[in-house]
Amino acid sequence: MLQTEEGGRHEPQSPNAVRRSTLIRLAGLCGLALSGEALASLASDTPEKSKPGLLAPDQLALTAVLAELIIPKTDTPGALAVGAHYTISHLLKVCAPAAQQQQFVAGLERIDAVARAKGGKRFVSLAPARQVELLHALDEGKAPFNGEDKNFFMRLKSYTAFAYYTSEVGATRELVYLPIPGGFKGNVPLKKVGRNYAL
Amino acid sequence: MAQASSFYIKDSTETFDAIVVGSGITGGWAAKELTERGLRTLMVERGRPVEHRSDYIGEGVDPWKMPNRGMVDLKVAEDQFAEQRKCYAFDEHTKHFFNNDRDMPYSTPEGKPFSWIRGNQLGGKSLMWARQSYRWSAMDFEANAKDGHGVDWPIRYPDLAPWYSHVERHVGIAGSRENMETLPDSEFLPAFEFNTVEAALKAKFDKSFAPARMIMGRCAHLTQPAPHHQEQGRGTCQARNMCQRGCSFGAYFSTQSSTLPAAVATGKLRIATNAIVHSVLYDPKTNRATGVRVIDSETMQVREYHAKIVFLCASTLGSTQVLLNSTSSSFPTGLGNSSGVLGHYLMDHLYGAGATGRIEGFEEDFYSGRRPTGPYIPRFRNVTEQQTDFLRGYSLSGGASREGWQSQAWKPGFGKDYKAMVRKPGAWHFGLHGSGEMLPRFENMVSLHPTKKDKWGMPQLHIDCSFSENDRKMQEDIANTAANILESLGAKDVKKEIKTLEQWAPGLSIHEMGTARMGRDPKTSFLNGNNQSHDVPNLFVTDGASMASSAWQNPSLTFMALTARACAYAAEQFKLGKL
Repeated sequence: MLQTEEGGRHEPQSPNAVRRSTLIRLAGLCGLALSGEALASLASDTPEKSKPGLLAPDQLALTAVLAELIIPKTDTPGALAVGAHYTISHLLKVCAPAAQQQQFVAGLERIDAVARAKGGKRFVSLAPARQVELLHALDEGKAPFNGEDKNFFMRLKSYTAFAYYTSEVGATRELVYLPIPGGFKGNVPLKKVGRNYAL
Repeated sequence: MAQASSFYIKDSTETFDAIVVGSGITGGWAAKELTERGLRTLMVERGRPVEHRSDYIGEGVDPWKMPNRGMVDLKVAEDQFAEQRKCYAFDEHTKHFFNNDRDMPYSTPEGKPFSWIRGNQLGGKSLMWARQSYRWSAMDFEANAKDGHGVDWPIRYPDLAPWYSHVERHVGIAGSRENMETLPDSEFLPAFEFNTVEAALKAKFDKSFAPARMIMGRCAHLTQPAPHHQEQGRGTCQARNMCQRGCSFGAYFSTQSSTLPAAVATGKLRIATNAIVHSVLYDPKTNRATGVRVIDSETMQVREYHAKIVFLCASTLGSTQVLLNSTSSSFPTGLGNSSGVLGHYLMDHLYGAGATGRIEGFEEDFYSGRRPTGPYIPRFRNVTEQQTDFLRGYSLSGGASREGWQSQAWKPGFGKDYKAMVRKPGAWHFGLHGSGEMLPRFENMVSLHPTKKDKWGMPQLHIDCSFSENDRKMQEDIANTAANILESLGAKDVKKEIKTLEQWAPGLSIHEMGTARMGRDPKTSFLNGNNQSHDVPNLFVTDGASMASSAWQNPSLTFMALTARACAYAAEQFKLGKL
């Protein structure tokens, strides 16, 4: 791990990471749809990628875009880089009851339906600024979305957070990961720890 | 410890001095105490062997390396763990320590659910227990005699006090000396610390609510191992609080970390695993138990083991199930059941009621490590006088913590600001939840189902248990009182909670007690004051089945002390030729 001049942390970019960020930038700039295949080439190291998942390629692509909008790359990698969409798809298939699976797929369809109604494009094909604008409405349950849509977005956020903060990057780089704390101290200044604990 | 594997047996023609059925908290203690007193002892366990450390397969595995990030495959959970999945400790890291409900079913009457949480392996539930460890007080042993519910305990606090000390020194109990009559002190290792918010609220609480007091929860963790703990191979608690996965540091008490090494060291212990006890063998000519009949869980082969003394430590309902199935012309309704009380007076603790609130300020304060216990308010209700329209009382436990990513993630927003918000710990919250005493009632009972059997041919247990009016009133008071306390301590947004029967059925507190109770009178109780059958002198039951009331404290420490005391008595009587 290197210390940058700003004091932030980053790792030297691997060719894979460069390819990823190039793809994302291109997708963002050109308003390109990130196809299932394009996304499949991303997050190649995520353990759930090779496991059975609930979501069809288009649904997986939309989940990937939404997850990265929820937890984007900052001074640490974002949801896309840890393959949060694969994790969500896998956990939905294996651990979620049928009703929850249906709600999730219906929630995705609803977002695309609203996006189409507003401009004929699917959500992933919208310009990033337009995506963000729609998500603000979704987050607040405001038109063109409603309260039920807002509830879906809260669940999506919790799924994304779960997938991200239980990933190696999310747990160990974004948060403080103490598998063996070595004892309990009841009075520690927050500034000494700095962040939330992953566990 | 040495590999226990050399002590495993399958067939044996030996007549042991003692057989101990079960290997959990009480089975481990019985094995230790009996072997250390020179008795050749066979421990019989229905489940598989679990070796300390090497079989803790869920321990220390990072979430991203688990197949489902710690969540259990829903199909597996629904098909095999329909009840066990309701337990807070059941997850992908621990599920192999929980009972398979499909293979070991039981029945309940329509509309009267009961959650029977079990651990069927060597070590039993001692591997996944919550480790809270409290003595009972004089008041608790007198309660039945005082208000007439349940039979009088045949023992009083001073009878058990030295045995509490005996087990505590071996186990290692972290706690603080308080000199409270309602909760006698144990032999302590240093207590865990309060965090900053808890310390501030404790100061306020102790001042405003005296003589009630907020103390640190006492638990079976080595905060500072003594030399004899280190000799057992046990080390200091690392505050991981993932104890139910097993602990290779041996920092919490379990059969594997503590009692089994001691028993093995005597050279007098043998262990038969995968051996489901079908019944206790009985000789009417001598009026003695002569051993146990077991079914091999893998081959279905039926075998017998023989001994001069039989200790049942198979869990509250496990021991009673075996006794109910041990019928003869002398005892047509279950071995030693001349009183007819076997199976009756089932109790659990009243959980599921309490309150939480937000604490303002303390934004620069945090903590480090995951403390495996929390603040505890010993019983204050109906102590010196009857204050309420329900009998007996409860403790409150809980503590303060800051919102982690799991809570933060539900807050408004997305994107960089959201990620930055989740990165920081959120507001402090303080919770207080009750553990209330449930009265012993005849109608709360278990019996053998007349027709249903499990895959090994054992009659299924039929569990008929419900909360009473007293229980419901107490839950109301727990929630109201917890909320009042939090409000008076300055908490904001205080929310009360009482779980419904669907959310928290009897049994889910996993403190099931009674069904082979102790008492003074052979006509109204199953066991005498030494956990000895009134009817069959060489038959002992020392697990939760023996309890004549439930008190309000977590019961495991009391089970341990009762077991050690009964073993000392049995060994002495055995040597005198009286058993």
